[in-house]
Amino acid sequence: MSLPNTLLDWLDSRTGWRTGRKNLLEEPIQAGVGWWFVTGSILLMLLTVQFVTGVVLAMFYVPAPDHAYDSIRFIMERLAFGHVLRGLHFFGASFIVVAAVVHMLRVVALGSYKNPREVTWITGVVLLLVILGFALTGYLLPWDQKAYWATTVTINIARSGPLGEQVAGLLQGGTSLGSLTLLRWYAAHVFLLPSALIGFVIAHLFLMRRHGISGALKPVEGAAKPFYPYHALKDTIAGALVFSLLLTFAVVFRAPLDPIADPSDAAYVPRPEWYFLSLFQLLKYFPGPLEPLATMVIPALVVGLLVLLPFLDRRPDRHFLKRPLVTAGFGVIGLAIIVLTYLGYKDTPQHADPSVWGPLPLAGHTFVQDQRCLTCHTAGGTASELEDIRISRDPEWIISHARDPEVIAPGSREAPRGGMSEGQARSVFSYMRKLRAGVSPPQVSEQTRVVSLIIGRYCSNCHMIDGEGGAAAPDLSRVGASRDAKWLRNWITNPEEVDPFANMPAFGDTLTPDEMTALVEYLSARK
Amino acid sequence: MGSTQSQTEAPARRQFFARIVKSIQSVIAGVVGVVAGGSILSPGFARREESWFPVGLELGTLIDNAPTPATLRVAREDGYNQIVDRRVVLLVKTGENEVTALNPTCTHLGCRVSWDSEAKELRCPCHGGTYDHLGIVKSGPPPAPLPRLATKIDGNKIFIQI
Repeated sequence: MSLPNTLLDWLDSRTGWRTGRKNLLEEPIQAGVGWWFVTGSILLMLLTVQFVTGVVLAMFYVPAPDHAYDSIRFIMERLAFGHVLRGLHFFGASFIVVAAVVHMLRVVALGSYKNPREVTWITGVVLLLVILGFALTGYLLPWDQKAYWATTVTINIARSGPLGEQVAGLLQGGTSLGSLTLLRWYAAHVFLLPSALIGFVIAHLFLMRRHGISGALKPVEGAAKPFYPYHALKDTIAGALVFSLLLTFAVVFRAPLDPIADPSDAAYVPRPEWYFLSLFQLLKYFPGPLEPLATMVIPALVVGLLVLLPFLDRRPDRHFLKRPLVTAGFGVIGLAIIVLTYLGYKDTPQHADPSVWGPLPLAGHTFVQDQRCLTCHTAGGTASELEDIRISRDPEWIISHARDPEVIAPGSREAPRGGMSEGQARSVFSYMRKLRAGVSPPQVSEQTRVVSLIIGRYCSNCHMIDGEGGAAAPDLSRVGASRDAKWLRNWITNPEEVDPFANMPAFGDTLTPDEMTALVEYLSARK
Repeated sequence: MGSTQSQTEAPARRQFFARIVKSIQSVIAGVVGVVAGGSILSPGFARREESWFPVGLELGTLIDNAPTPATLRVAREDGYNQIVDRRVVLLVKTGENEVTALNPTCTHLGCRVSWDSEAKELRCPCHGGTYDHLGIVKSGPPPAPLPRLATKIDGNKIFIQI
């Protein structure tokens, strides 16, 4: 007898693990339990992948607004397979939602929730809610624009219900969405929800074993076979297919990461992840005082019906055609969710692609080459090189600092001559944000460069363009849709000639003819 | 029991199925393991890139054969963070266009040595170790000379590789 076997025998005599394994693996599965019954195992496989990738992500992630975003970028860019790791976790979340719904629909279609499996069903509904809780809390963690604004919406929804302020306070943890919010959502995501998930999965599996698999609608002739390896083979093949698809997603698509959260950026339009899109769309049909209907009443009704389903549908018939009410109910709710999701998707505005540079960051890129900045921000200088700085200050700080560094860091250097205009400082800030998002400046035509400098230096003092700039004058992002080149040229040259009450200064003397032509061409093309 | 029946029926088939299940599951576990393991292990084996840093002192201000301390700022990565270290090096002008840079950390127990211009030696304040102007041990406990850093001269500017 070899040493390992002796050890295992000894362990068996003390723990009985062989009997335990036999009990686990050799559950007799009656004939007729076919491919429909692999959905639960797929979920279990996906949850395991999520657990493992989650633990590894937690080794690098920092749940603090100052560092969360940088730590995610570190994971994506510096770790071997880091982007696959986050991809598996990110897309895995969507896969789990789909798999959970498919599993539930299978249980409904085959009437598996009926007597005596009511409690198994209820633990399943709880698991679905836990999974949605994971999705909701995990969303905030990257601390990018999408995370921040989607969570703002979530908390405001909570505020609209009964005891709204209390619930919102509990979710938010502090007076505003910030470090305390991030910490408690993180704690929920990595401690609270996993504990609930593990507990309910064990309960769900225990009950499944206790009552056996519901099996085919009509008894099928044939001997029962042990779960392992016969049904396990089906589970494993299905699981491998799903895993391959997930891996393909994780390798081929980059898990998205928006620019870092910016509470001052009012131009950002938040959109939830696709599995909450139907709820989001529903909200639009219940304006004002009716809102709680969409945020609370209808979801609560759906969950309530789900929990009560086995008690409402008590006849033993399992075929879905013999249960027209249940089938129709699920059909209607399912169709409603699909239609709402589609409408919500169609209504989603195009997100600004972080790799596309608007005029302001382009201008900022040129402005920081300025000798004023480079006196200190240079290799071996008194301040770090600009390319090495990751902004952690708020926008006001950066803009004030760029306008006059002496104001912020007294004694650090001689006050620069001139200082920057508000628009220039905004451009610098905008450029720093791009740097932080890890995108390098694109090659642009000379004309675009010239125009971006004009916009950065002059226009953005008052005008907004692509969500950046001042708010004192109209947004220029789509100015070409309402004004043609001729009008724009006249207006910019001397506004008072077009409208005697115009507030805008004349730029006819400031800009060279070439600059004017370039600017007018650029603006009139923005439609 | 069905299980015993099928075992006697087709043990070969059963074994074959079991082997497929085990192989597929091992592949899945292997892929997840590589992704997780790569992420866990890679930061520990990341190479630090060496690069040239300019020193605030100019070549003309150095005195022949007298080590002069110079401070430089070295940015380095600490995980997702970036840390800027202030590093002190000793610069010794050893020729017309030649500079030797010494790490001033004593090789004995890590205190910082400084130049005693009267005794013409580098002295460690902790245990009295002394080195000559090129960092060669003269007396005391230091087990090795002060480490040298690669230098590069461009006009009047000095660069050090760290």
